Amino acid sequence: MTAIVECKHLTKRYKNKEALSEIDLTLESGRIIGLLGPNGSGKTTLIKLINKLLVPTSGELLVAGEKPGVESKAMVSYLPEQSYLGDWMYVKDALDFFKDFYEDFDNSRALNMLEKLNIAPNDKIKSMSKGTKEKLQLILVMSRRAKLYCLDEPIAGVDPAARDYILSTIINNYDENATILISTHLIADVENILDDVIFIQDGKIRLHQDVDDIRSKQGTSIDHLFREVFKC
Amino acid sequence: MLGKLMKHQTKAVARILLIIHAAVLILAVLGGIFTSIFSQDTLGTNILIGFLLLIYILTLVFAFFATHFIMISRFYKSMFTTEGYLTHTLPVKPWQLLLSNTVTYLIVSILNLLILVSSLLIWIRPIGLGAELMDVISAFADMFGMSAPVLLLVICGYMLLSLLYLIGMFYASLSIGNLFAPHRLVASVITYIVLYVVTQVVSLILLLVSPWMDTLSSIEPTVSVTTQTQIVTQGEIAAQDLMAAREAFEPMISYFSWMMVASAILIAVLTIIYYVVTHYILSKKLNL
Repeated sequence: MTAIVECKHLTKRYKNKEALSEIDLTLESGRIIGLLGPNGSGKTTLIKLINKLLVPTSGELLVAGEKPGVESKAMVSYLPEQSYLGDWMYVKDALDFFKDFYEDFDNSRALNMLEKLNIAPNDKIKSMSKGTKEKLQLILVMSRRAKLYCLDEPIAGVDPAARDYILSTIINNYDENATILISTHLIADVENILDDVIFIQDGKIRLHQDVDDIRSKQGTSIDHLFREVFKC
Repeated sequence: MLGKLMKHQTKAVARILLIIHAAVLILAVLGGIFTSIFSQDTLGTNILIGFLLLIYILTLVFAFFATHFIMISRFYKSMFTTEGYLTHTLPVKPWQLLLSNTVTYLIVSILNLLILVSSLLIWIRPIGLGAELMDVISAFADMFGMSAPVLLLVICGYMLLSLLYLIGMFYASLSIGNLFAPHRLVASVITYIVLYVVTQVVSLILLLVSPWMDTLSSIEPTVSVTTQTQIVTQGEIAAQDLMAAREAFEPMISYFSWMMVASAILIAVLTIIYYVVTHYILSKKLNL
């Protein structure tokens, strides 16, 4: 099992707040990993660091053995929490965009999934509902055959039916050799698809364990454990 | 990769820019048609054409400023807002993003200028102005000691440099402003104002201390010409007039040449600084 992401004493500081403190973490490839924690715990910060949208204050972060850069961006597929597609785009522009810049983009797979949701290439993104936009972004991101998928809160802000759809899309498009990192605070919905979990709080790792381990040894669901660990 | 980046950057602005420039051209063509149909000098036709002219000029001015505003916004949106999450996770290097944006902006602003000038020509429809213009250019070229096409090339080069300088300054202001999130826009505007004021002050100081200020203040062409003409015959007077005038104006001409070169160097240096700063911020100080 190779490590797809390695963090050594990784720290990220903003003005007076330390978003991540001396993180030591290794993410194994081929796993579905849940990055779980309360709001403001550092989940998004870690994901942005992996994608080079932020630079570390100190410490080291490696993606597939290299610092984040052009090579890592070509193999990491990122789904941010917000909509990142231009308002000026039509669906076909977004498809074109991914096709042009990502060699690992599977256009036919994307079109297939969009058709099932009745999203047409000539639809304007500006006129889409929030839920539809999120599904579109998810489809684009999951249609890439990437080595690492970073999904930041993919199911927050959508109705339960849409959540089910999103989670099944993730599972159905999953390549066994790829790694999926899902950050969320909606534990109960995702725990059934996770292999590993990371609990993060105030920029520090509280726990990093195999899900089956937790269920058998601690005899508790992840959701339950989360509530215990992060009791207010 | 650069081509692909430019393709998508152009797509983002194409529709709105085409609409604006189509409006300008349509109004210009209408103006051209109206001035040829209604050539009688009556109050009615004058009001009509005057009104059309007013709308056209407003559209012209709007088109110019809107084009630049749109291009600057495009850079800002694609780099520093949520669209930035898409831009900065592309497998490209920051210099490629910077270069593609710059070239797209450059092409758009040149096209904008060409279309605006062409639309003006449709209104004015000058006949024979071409030849007169060439004469003027040739005269200037002679004065500066170079051929007309070379002078045109120099002017185009200077305009290109000025455009790059302008774009570089905008990009640098936006990038520096981004360091002051969450007050990004305000910080960018303030940065631009500061850069502008500082550049103006520095240029003024350079101008005042330049060695040519003394020469400039000592030019008294009228006096020397008069002195010369008192001494010799009619034919020689004419020739010497010209010679004297030329000699008297020579320091002024070399002064202008020197100013052109000096300011070009200053602009070039500043442009390079702006792009280096922008690139540094995009690669090392990006904090989306």
